[in-house]
Amino acid sequence: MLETVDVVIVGAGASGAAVAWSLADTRMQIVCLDQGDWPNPANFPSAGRDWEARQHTDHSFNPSVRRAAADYPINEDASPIKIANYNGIGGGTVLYAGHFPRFHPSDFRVKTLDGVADDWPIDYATLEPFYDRNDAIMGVAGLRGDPANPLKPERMPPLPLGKSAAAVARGFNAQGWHWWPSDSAIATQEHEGRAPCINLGHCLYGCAQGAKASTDITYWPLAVRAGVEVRTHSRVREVCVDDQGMATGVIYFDAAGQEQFQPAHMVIMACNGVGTPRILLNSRSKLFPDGLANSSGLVGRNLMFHPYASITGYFDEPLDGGRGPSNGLWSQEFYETDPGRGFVRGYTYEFSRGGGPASQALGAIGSGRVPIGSGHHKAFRKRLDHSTGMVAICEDLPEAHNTVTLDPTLTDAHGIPAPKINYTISENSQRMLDFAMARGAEVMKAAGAYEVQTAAPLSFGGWHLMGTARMGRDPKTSVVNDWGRSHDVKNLFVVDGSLFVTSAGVNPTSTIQALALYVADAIKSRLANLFD
Amino acid sequence: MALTDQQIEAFRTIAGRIIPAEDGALGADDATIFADLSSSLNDIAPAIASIIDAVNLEGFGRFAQLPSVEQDVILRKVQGALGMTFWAAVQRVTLCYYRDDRVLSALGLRPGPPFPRGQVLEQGDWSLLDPVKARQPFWRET
Repeated sequence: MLETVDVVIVGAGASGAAVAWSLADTRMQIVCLDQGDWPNPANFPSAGRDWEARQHTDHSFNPSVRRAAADYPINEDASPIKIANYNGIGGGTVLYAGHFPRFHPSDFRVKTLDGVADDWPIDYATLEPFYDRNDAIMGVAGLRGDPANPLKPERMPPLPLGKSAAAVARGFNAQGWHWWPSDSAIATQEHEGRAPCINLGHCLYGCAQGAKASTDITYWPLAVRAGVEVRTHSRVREVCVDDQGMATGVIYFDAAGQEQFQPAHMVIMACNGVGTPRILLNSRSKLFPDGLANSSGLVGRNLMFHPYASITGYFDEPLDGGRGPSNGLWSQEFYETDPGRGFVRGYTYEFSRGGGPASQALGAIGSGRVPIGSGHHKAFRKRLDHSTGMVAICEDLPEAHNTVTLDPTLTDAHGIPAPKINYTISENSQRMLDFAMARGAEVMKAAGAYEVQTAAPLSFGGWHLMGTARMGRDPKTSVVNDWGRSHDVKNLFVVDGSLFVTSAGVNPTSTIQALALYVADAIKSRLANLFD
Repeated sequence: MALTDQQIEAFRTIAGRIIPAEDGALGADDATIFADLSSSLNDIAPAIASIIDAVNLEGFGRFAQLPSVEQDVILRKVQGALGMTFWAAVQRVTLCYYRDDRVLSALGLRPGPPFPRGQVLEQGDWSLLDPVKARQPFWRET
């Protein structure tokens, strides 16, 4: 049997890295288990001439396409939105765009302000110092003074607008609507040994330059230097408990496929909104027949994505194509609730610069704007590098019928039951998507687009996995308390997107990491009586 | 599943109609492009085989001999019938075609991968932000 450690963290992604780094200064013995490996930036697609093809194969953000050894199958037949993730050190931050918005203060008071969903047990002011600390470690480019947000600390200079974001900005200005350079976890100058962005235009598929902040190159080197052990190719099957209902450690399969038991005084789940409920539901015992930490019945329930709409404009003027980060600006003109719009809550527009030549060709062929066969070249030359767009990232409200459960038959390579997703888009979300497409088309037309294409929901856009082990003060209506500890198992913590009570209308990474740092801080301040 | 030499040759004709050599541009059946393409078909071999079968059926086994206009009609028909199966071929042909150095150069694009050279992105007109800077904060206080 392996030596007992103080803390075992399951998952080395956005939240696992942050919590490990923070707890390292306690000098506790900490082990982090991850089913994947350290990413090697030299192998990222943008370093090879097949860079666009690999977006659709081994570096796809869709695990069902990627099918790497570290991936596990997901039954998502009953969901119009498919899961996007990355299994390995860095987790989702390896294959994300680097969007780094924060929640608004109103996002923590949804019930009070708008009469829907629930309020969070914490508020913006509680998380603000952790947002600040996280920004400093990840490295954020942007511009202070956004009138749509509370004031934030100084950042690195914003990403360039280029021709494409400038065109979209003109559209927002013509409408009299808000826009602002987006906060992006992309270094625009040297940051803590990371080289600045050189506009590879490939953020979403791994940054070979290392300018984009993924936790394998931000938190993890610091945490490892401070003594945290990272064990790769280690897939956790279940959390074990003793007769008193305390977690005793985890069972996992090591790199050789051997079953191991890692004893620990404390277990921290950091496997995202699908992976965490999957393991908790698979951790059945006499004391916890419905899965661990599940006396509320809410483990795996209230799954939230962010339904996305896309708006693409075609312009006569030449634009940037895929040269440069996808990020550039956002608009939160329609972020806060206005009942006159026909839906509650709101969304953010996020600029999306464009793809490489093959991606543009595929998009144009797929939408019927460029034919296959005769006429292909003439039509494509007109379109190439003459389009740009944005997405609307819409707040998804929690609904108990949107779930992660265990598939009765599907299993991964180690025989662990696979997660099954049941999800429907609510009427409120659909109205929001429709509104976002209509207003987005107006922006593009005002920017000078001669043609606009809209689509929703983006079926491939299940990047944000939230709500499946929600935090709250009442054990009947939440899985963990207001500082991330399980109501049922007093040495079990959750630090990933599962914690979210509501989803807000922004990318969740900075909030996930701020929460992880907040939970770590709560643990450190209670070490003497942590399990009382 | 691996494609036979005969199937690969049949698919070369199809690829050459998906992206044809016309208007001064190379086709996807160009020897260099198709060599790259044919080396990356194994994982979608069943889809390719289905497309070849459907094309042969519609073209009475004479697809390669038909005028290009008729070939295009047949491909559109097969595209409609096979949906995502046909799309898998279009995707693979397009991804291989638009990475050929000669194709990219002809389009005025720099051949080769983005890394390590990087790309130039102009700052853009930051004065566009002036009217937004003048706006009062409008996030909701709680």
